[in-house]
Amino acid sequence: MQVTDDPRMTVLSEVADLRDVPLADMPGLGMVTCEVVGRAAPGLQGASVPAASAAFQSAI
Amino acid sequence: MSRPPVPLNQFVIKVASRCDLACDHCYVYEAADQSWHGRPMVIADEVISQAARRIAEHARSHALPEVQVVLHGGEPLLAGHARLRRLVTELQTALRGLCELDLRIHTNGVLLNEGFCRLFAEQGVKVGISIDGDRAANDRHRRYADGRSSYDKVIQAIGLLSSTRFRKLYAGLLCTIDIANDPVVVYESLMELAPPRIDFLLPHATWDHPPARTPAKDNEYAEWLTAIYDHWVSQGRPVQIRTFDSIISTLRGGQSFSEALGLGATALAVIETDGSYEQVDSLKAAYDGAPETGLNVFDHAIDVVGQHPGILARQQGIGGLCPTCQECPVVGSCGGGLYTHRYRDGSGFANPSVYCTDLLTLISHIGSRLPHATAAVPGRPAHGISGQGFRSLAAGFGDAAAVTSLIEAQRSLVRGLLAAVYQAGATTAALPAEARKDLRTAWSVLTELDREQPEATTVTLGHPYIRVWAVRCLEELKAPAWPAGQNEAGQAGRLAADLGHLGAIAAAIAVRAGAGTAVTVPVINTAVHLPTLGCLSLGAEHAARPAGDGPQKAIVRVISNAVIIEVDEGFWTLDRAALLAGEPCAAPVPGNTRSGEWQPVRTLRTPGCRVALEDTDPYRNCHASEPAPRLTDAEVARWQCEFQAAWREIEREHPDYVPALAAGLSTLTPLVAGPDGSDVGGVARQAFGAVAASPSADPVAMALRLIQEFQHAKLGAILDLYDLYDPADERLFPAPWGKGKCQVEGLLQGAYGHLAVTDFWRARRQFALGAAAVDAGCEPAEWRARAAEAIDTLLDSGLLTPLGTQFVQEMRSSVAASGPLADGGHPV
Repeated sequence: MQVTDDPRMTVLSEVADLRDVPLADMPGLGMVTCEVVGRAAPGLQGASVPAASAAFQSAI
Repeated sequence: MSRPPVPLNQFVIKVASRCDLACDHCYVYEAADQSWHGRPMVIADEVISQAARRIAEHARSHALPEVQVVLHGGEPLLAGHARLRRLVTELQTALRGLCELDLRIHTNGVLLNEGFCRLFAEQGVKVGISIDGDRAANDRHRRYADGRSSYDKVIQAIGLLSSTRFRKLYAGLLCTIDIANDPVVVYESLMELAPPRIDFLLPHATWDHPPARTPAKDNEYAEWLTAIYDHWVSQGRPVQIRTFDSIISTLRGGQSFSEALGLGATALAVIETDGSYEQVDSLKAAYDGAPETGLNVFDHAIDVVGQHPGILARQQGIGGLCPTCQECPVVGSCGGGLYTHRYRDGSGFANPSVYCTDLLTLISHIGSRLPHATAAVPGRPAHGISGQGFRSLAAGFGDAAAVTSLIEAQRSLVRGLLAAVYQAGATTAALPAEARKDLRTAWSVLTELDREQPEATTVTLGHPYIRVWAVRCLEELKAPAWPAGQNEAGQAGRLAADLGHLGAIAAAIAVRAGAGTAVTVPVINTAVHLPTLGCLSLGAEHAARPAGDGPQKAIVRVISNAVIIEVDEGFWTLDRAALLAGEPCAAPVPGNTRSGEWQPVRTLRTPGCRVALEDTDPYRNCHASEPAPRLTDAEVARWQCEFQAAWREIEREHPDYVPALAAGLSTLTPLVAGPDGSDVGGVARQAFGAVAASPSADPVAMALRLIQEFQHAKLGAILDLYDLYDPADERLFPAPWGKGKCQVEGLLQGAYGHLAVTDFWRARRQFALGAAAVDAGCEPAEWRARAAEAIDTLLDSGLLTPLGTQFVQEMRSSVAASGPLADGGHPV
């Protein structure tokens, strides 16, 4: 196996390690929660993170 | 040297140049620029068509992935239903196949009615509303020309957007700050309207026309905003607030979400009702004619607009700022503030913002209270499995360290899901305000326990059915609208009960930690549940009340070594130590006339392994078969015997599976046997660690059940971490186990399960030809052949990723090692 030829090597995933991130800080990590939802329950991302708002500040 | 122009991707189309309100803080009518007098009242058809063509031309030439169009005014709804429909249709037609189109309209709301909402729902136009707070705050400025309040009509419009039918349109609320209003009252009044996001706008001002302030005070706007920020943080940031999110993001090196902050390029242009291109309209506050470009949709492509000095000036990053700003410690977050607010006659825009001190104060305040600022996505460590562990899992086994890696990843997934549930739940208009308040309180308790009692939190959140619950909540929250004919109140009641379970999770952690607290939890299926601990089953008098009333609630109080549960006028006291030990321990408080029985989660124990026998959790109904109801003590004793015998069997004949099972199997969920009395079992992708099974007196069959089902659980957890195949390809492949066709994940799961069963029967035949093997008609060669065939199909499918190919090749090696194989990999 190419990526695991060296048993010491870690096969890294794209799932961020959030174990030491306080839950209180998690809502500030919108992209992280979006990615987590995408991995854990594909198709439900839209439920967790509304679409990005406009840069134009006189609309939202 | 200036930076090259950035392609424009945001267009503000002024569909009406008049307004039905006469707000005295309006930058369009009450500021320096008075160009509205000479504009057509509404956008003309030829302007609509030409604007759509220009935007499409620009999108095509720059291969833009998305264009955002904001329908704006004046008051855009004055353009009327037909004109708005035409505009949206022309834009969609022009951009179809070229790029995505994000359409929004921003309105004062007073004309927003069901007809407009239906149009916007049909056309996919999101709606933002301006409102300045509660009635008193809103009435300070947002009035009709004759002085009447607009408040009631705006609230009516927001109510429409909050309704089940239209809440998907609800983009959020814009609030212009007036420091005479109480900031927290304003914030709370907006939160009552359940917006998905809010922004607080500094009133437009320049150095020539500075904002209203108390003399000698230069940071009152910062004080006003920091009061809201601190309150918002204390609530767990239950809603997106664009200004705060932008500051947090930019302080962490990310992007701003508003043109008013950060150093990102602004790539927007305005198209007026007469077809003129203009710069951003807030410039009207600077001087008369400030937004003009001298260009129009009929004569000029949008690329020409992009070359305009006023547009280019806002794309120069830090180089476009005055020396004072360039040397400022918070310039990366502030970006000089809104361009308009820098204006001073004589020096133009080469100044700090007239809100400079406010911005510095606010950003410094947020920066000093931003815990774990380094916890942003970039640079965060990712989960992984050692190469050796990955190989051992691919071979069908998995050592303890590899399974521990899977468990650790599940912890991150569950934490992310919890935050996602909270974010979505705290702002959904589908939930009554009281339920949202309960949710915020539960989150507050949970986050405090997480900070103070991490071990108890980890244990509770490790429960397999927490993730099942979270995903169910997200599914309900994502539902665009409940199907016609369904009882909306009933659905809302169910959602309230499900989201209320966050309180039950917090309560369970508090009990484990012995942390004094009081949490509201829902009564689900006539029981008060404390996940991982058990439930207080209430008597028949508590049986279902109408769903439309929302869930019945209980309060769980943890006081020293006692846990008190209150439901209506019923009170029960539970001894915390007994509760943690899994013992029956509910004592009704004297005078309590209600019946109730504490039903603890019981534990199956055997040397080397202990698992929870889960027959209480309300979210365990996620397996293919029906979960068994509460077991009697005799049934539990039987389960204990069967589990112990099965574990001995695994240790004796299948020791390679022991490390993974001992590390990862946390829960056994009893199922009702099949209709013909047959054994049933299964795992759920969202419930890692739990194996569900009906009882079986045959220790071999139970051992096989545990190994085979946990095999699927392992693969599910691996798929949570890695893309082993292309999920978008829905091709079907023949299943060698004779059940028609299945998609690639089904084939992979089937092959992986067969790997374990092959090995199971091979081991048994080596050990002894047991009667169970014969009775079951199980020959390892048959299982091996089917596994090999599925593996070959997977390798030939072209759907595996490189890592997936390596994983399946390792499976193939494992099959080969389990018996003689002919050329081509098929067993002989």
